Amino acid sequence: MIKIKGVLISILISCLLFYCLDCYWSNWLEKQDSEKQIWIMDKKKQHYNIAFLGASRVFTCIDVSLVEKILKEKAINLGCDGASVMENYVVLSQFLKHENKIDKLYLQLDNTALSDMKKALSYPFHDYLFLNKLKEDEVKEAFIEDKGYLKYYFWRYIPLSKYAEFNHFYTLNFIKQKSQSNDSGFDKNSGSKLIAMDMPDSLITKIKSGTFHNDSFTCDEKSKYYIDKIIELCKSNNIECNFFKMPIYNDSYIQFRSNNEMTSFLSKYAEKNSCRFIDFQSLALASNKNYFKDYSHLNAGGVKLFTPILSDSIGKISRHRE
Amino acid sequence: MLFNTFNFFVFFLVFFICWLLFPAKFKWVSLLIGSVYFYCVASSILILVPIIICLITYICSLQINRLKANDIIFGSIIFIIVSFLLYYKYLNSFIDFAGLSALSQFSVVAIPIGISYFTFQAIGYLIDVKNNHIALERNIFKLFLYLIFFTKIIAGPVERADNFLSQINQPAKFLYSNFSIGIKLILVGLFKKVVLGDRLNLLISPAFNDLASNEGMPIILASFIFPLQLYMDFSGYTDMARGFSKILAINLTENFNSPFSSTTLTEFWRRWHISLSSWFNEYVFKSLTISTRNWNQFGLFISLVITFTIIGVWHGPTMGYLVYGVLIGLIVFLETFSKKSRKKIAKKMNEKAIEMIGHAYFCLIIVFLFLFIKTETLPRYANVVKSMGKIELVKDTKDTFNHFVHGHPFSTDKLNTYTYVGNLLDNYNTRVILIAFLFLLLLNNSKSDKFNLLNRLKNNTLVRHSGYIVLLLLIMQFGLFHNTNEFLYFRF
Repeated sequence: MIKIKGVLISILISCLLFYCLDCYWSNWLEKQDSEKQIWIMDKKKQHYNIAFLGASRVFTCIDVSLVEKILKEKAINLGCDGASVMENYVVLSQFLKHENKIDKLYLQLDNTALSDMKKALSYPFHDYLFLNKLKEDEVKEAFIEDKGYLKYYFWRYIPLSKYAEFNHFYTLNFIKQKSQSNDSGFDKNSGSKLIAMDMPDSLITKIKSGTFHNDSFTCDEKSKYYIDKIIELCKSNNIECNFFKMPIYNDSYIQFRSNNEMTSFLSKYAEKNSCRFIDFQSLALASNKNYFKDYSHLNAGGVKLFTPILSDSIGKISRHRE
Repeated sequence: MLFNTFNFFVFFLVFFICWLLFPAKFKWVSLLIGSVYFYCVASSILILVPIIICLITYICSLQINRLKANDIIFGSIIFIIVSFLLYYKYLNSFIDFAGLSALSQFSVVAIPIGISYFTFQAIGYLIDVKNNHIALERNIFKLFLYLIFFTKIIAGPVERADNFLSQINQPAKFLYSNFSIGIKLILVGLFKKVVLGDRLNLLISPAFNDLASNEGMPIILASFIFPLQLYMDFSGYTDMARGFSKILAINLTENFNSPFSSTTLTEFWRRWHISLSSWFNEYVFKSLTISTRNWNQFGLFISLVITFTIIGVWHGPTMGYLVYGVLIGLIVFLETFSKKSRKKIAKKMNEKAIEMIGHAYFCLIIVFLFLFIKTETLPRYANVVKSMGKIELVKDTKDTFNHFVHGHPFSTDKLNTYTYVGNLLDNYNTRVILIAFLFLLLLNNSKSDKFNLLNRLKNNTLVRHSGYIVLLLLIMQFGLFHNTNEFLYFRF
């Protein structure tokens, strides 16, 4: 009996201790606004005329402060590195829950976004940045989709377990390496991160010697489901939703034979949902390697050239709508 | 389903609840069901291999009286059992080595998990039955459970039949003391694996993965750390295996006894992977020494070299492992041969000094021997040793002195060395490892008088339980879970 009592007390103390640490990490996570997703979810009661949503091709390839200057409207970059449409949806839903308002949303879509997210992206859902929001419906759905029911409920109800799995991120500062920096280097006003880097020659050679991809285009059902959810979310929040496709370095782009199918799918899909679709692939800058840092991302020079074109297109759509 | 994965913990939890529900007399049935399930998840259809081996072993054991009289038939049966191991583990390498591309259609695609372990156990069981060391097991299902019990199937220990079968033949029940010891073993094992072993791996991998940039000091440091990583990984696995078994009222053999406190390689082999070395001692070495007893020292030499060569090749079908085994046999022989003369010299010297020389000698030997396990092949081993030899001690010391005292920059050709060594000293992983080692030292049951106070404290329930809580906390905070690493001995 005494032994059982001892065990029970130990379990109780453990639970209490783990719960306290769980709260500590949840609190800590909320302050990590050097992470793009956290920075977005940290915004409260803001009003933006334009928001750009997508993966790294939005995050690093659109200079939002330049868009603001050109269009004289308040804008925000909601793009996150390596994010799938599922993660885009989760981020947007959390952003809107904090009483933020958006007038026009530009959703970046392309082959990667429309493919099976688990195959197209190395880490399609940055789960470790949403651990303190497990109770939120949208987050819960994404977690169950990504990790399964068992793991979701384990993380939700066993204190500290979720932070233990990602303890490479949740590290104790006092033993952390001095040189280790958390700064992901994006502009905290606009949310954009421009990268001044040229495409390495080795990559160009690799692209030119690349084999053609003959796969026919199919839109992944799960990805389509989350795009529909984003559209639905926009409708319920009175947001004008439009799609766009960022330019990809032409030598690489032409290797995918299914491009035409993909763009025609997006055009039809946009039309069906009363959205506009802008394809920027035909721009001359897409053929110039000096504007790219790799085959699918513009560098800072390319962004400076591309952003006015993007702003111009947005302006035209706005004027047309009016 | 490795022990350090979420899936295994869920499996074990569900299994443990089922085990509790089974009546004491039939708890072994639940163990069998759990083991079959575990095996099927890991190797699916390949469960047929242990089934066939079990059938052969069972039928032969029933006919043991007839087989006793005929050593050739008994030897053939042992060979048939061993041939499964040879086929699955060595056929592909043999085809490659002999250039028999025509036979490539027969190459092995998947290896049944734990094939060495259940093969060794089956052979051991048959020999023990033949020699009347143990009673015949008439229940084939119990024999099958002995071969594939899920906590020891991945990487041992190589359990003796008498120890295991006698336990499952007794009614088992849940005991708090077993549960408590089991949980402690699991926690300590998990700590060793995910906090120490996997983090040590993070320290040494950069050096081994890029030899060209890490010549000299980095690769020397990494080579000295590797035995420690291997020990933490393997002993962590064994502790967990023993812990899970203990909860289920099964006592598995201890596999380690402070191996790095050895002063000779002979002593090391009595302390390292005890279940395997004692199996080889019992069933290979002893038979060989009996056969070669008339050859005096040469007989001992042959027996040792053959036994350790088999142990070496058991690790894998490479020349590296072959040389590894031969070298161990040779060194153990030399140590045995020189035992008397060493004792004579030791009498004239200070005891502490002798001990220190012994540790230094052992340390060097084990680093160079375990490099075979890390590198696996001879050319890679040679590359690593060559890289180690490129150390420029005088120049490096002078450069370091000039850098820190006079502020001179490091020469660019040596930048990698200093970066690696600097990172090793000022690194999150290093700090975690140091804290973890300190904690493990405090937690380790020491019978030494020096730790009397700690031992007394450990007898206090509150202190003990607090220790477990801190251990669990350290595992959760510092264990590597995100990218689960396989156990190093899993591949053997």
